[in-house]
Amino acid sequence: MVSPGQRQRHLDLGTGGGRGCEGASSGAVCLCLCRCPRPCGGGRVSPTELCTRCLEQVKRTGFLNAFVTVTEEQALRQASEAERRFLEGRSLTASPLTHRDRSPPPGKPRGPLDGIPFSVKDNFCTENIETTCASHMLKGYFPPYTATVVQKLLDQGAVLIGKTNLDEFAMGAGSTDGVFGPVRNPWSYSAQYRERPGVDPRSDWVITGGSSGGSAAAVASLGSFLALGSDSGGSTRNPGALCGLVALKPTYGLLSRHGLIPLVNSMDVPGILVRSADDAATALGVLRGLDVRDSTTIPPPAAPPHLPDDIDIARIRVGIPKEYHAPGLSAETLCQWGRVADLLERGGASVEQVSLPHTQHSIVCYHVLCTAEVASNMARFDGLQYGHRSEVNDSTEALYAATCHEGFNDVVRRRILAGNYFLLKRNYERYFMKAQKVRRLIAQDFARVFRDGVDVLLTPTTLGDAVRYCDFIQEDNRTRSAQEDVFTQPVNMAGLPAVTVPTALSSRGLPISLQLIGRASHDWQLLGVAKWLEQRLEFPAIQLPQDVSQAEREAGVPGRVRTSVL
Amino acid sequence: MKERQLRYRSCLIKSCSAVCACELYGFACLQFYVYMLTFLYSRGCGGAVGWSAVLLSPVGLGFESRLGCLATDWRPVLGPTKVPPDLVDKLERLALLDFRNQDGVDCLEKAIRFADQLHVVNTNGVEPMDSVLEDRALFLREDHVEEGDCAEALLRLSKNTLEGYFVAPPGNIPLPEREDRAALLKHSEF
Repeated sequence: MVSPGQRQRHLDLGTGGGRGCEGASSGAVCLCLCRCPRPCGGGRVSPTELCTRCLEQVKRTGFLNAFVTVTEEQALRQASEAERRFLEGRSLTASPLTHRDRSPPPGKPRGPLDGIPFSVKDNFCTENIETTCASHMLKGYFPPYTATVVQKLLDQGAVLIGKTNLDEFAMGAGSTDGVFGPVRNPWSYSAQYRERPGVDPRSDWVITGGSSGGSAAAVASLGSFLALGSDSGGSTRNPGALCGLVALKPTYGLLSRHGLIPLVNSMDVPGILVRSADDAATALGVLRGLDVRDSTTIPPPAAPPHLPDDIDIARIRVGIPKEYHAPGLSAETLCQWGRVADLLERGGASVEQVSLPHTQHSIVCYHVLCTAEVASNMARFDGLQYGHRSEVNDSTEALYAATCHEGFNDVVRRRILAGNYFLLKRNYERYFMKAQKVRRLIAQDFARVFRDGVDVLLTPTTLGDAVRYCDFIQEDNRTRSAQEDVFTQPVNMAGLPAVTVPTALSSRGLPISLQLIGRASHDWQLLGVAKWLEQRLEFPAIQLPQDVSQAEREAGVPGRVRTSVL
Repeated sequence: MKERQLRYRSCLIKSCSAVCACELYGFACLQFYVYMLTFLYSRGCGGAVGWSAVLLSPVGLGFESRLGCLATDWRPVLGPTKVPPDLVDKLERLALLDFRNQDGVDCLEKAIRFADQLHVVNTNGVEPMDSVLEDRALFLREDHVEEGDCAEALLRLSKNTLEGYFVAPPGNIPLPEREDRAALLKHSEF
């Protein structure tokens, strides 16, 4: 038996924030009203039904190109297992069942995520499910193991819907540079954006941001309740911000990186993309913890099982780092920044200006450290043991060179070559060591303001709202990354937690978000402030058209959804 | 409320320009070339000289201009960087990866110029930082095997194996010279 309290927790995911989709009764709209197995239209939604609706929504929004692989059969199997647990535990009352086989396994619901559909960025290994990193190099790679964070979700009974699209090997800030093509931001098809004068839905669709753009699009388009991304320089927060989601980059080491195909080992963390701060706290509670397979994990701090509803921010000191008032910051984002600072002050928090003097050098520092670690990490793809193997057979070195030549796109290739340049014996001190020293200065900046008593920093997440795809591709990947990651990567340098919260829609009808940065291991405090803001900001729900297929026709692209062989 | 917002904004802008002034002063004390660089930056579009120079300029705040503004306009720190052909060759051999075309080399030159901005930061007496977990003892597991017997599963991932071994082409043969190398590689413009 499950006690009422347990049951409540079990149902928590997706109920926070009250940001359901408005409108009537099409499947898509209904999906987000029933954002969890909760009373919906007088009944309850079973895990199977929830899973089916998510899968339908994924198919309907296939033109967004959010998914690389949809694991439909496995998802339905997991959902029916969750359903059996619900019935055994009598946690769900009468809901129509499609399954007659009710024998094994007996048991009760496993926790708050049991039966909840989620998606995973395609750079996390998943056993016997293709893991591509959106690269030719790993097409057809079926890992023999599952990443720790994914396994933890599966162990909780969460239902894996599919693997999401990204920039090749997570190198990018637009989700435009993978072999499966660019991801489209669901807000491009929202009533809020499309019903403005002069918007042409064929050509004016906007990017999701990246590199976890597929994960962000999956959650924003209501195809999943939770998605995992990865965050090395802002890859979770950037698309989260542009897609109007709550996106958390946890403290470095709080979540295991085992099974996350590495980009920048000293900065990578798994990221969480959800629709409310409560959901983020629930997911974080499940995912955190020491992992014997990742020696860089740290013991998690004691944390409440969920965030309180009544949050007091009176004793919170909020810092506004003046250096984040950067060139190119849009007037509307600046305005939101001021608005939220006011809101916090009126709510009783003390808001003060602080200085992080080395902020402007951070993006340069990141550029050097990232390329250096990339050069080292990508050397594993030699074609011998797994992944793409060239036909060239003249010599081992020729095989290596031809494999890399055929397997990597220009973005990856250029980062590897730049990294090799910075790591040359003659350049090692001048660039790599220098960047590591600047990294310390950046980390010390943060340490200083937190030592002075500031609890949380409030900054913009991106310079502005999402850019149209046709504008975005006018600049090369490195330039774009330097622009898009400017506010997000300093946090990775210092290993701190940061969460982005959507605050309002811009005059174009697209989300504007702000970032909260906290002390190391104070992720829950950060989410508490995020929830407090969420309760007051009343960020509008996305209004996707009733007939999404019309959007698809107008988008002029066939849905490209592949189904796993499982 | 409107007033409060304005106050915030102007206080942010004011403090930024104060910082900028300090930095300009500091830079002036450095060597001449760095000073020249600073001058170039302040005439340009951002980069190393504090945010406010751009912020206060008429192009700084415009919504349209943000796309082209930050860091797209990197000026050389120590004169233009040229990557000579022998270095291109060396990097291709080390990385076992080719530049593909002149654009690839140009891109490296730009990346180096971007990285050169690091040298305006004074790091005297600062220790390099490898990891944010440097000040704590990390968990180490016992030194005994806990899993294994997965040779078959791993070999299955390879495209070419023989009797339990990965098969590689002949070793100890250096990559061919540059001109012959292009023939090996599809779509190489060199």
